[in-house]
Amino acid sequence: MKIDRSLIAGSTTLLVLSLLKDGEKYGYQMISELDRRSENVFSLREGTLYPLLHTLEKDGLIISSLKVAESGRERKYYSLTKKGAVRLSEKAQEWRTFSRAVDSVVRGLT
Amino acid sequence: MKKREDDPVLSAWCESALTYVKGKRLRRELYNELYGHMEDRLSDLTAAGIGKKEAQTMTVRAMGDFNETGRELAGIYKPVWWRVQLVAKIVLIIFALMFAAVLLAFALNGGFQRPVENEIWSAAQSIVYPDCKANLDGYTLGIARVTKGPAGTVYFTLDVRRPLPWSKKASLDHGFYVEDSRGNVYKMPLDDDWDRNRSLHISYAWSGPLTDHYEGTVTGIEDASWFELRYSDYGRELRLRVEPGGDRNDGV
Repeated sequence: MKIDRSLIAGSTTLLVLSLLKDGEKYGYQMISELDRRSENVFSLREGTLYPLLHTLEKDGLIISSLKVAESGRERKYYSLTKKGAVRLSEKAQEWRTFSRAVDSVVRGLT
Repeated sequence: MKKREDDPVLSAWCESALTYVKGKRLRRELYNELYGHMEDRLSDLTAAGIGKKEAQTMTVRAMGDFNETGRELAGIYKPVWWRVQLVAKIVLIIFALMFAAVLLAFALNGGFQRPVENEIWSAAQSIVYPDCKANLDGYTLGIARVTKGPAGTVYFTLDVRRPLPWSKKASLDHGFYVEDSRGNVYKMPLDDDWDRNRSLHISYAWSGPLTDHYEGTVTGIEDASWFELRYSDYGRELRLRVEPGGDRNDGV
């Protein structure tokens, strides 16, 4: 099912921080994980992931480190900082409140 | 940035996106990250049995618009010098506006024409007379500088060199008067026939080792091509003439 992009746009920070909760990951790994966990509902334009990652790093919510991949090319891994973990918790709580509210309105109408 | 063995289709997308980004080192780092991502995608697609050309197309399509990615990355990494330049430009504009405002205010107030009232010896309004000197009783008197003041007023400095360092200071409170080219006479307050509308004042200013300095004011003088400071007393005469383009002096 194709999802309206505007619904996804406001949640990308929450999604990316959530993906990093279980450990460090690199960009393509995050995209693959997102596809798998969301059962392909969330399919970001992959190019837009990197501006988001770099912004989150600049804001101190995630941190990066370089490791050499099998191809011999350096790969950038991202992990959550303490500040990022706090922000994730806040955003998750926000989302739960929001989705509960939407659910109860929609259930009431259908 | 691009290595020889890099896939040209993937590489082209990355390089197009990074045209928006300034800084060689930053572009290299971002290229490696973006290309690495696309390389992984391409690798998965070809491993799944998709032909190389189709896999390249799918990889590029999955990345989305390179312009969007490039602009967003450029917005995050505006170079420091760009910010410095922007701040410098803003500061320069502010200073230019302030300077323009000051000039405008100055011009509206008469600007460069009107002398500052409490600086009567303004060089722009003064004429210097280095040779306007005369002797009287061993004292050498000289009018050093003349300045035209407002409304018929003329200011002058009078230097009086003493005969000897310990000679007493000259008394200039009476006996002196000014006459101008129109025949008008300007007397000092202590003298007979003193006219407050046409008068001469000489006041002591300061002393050096050999010379005493005085400030003179002539009021009510107008349209005169020259004036003379004169002293006349019991046959002792002194004249110091002040006129534009030259000076003359007679003394005893």
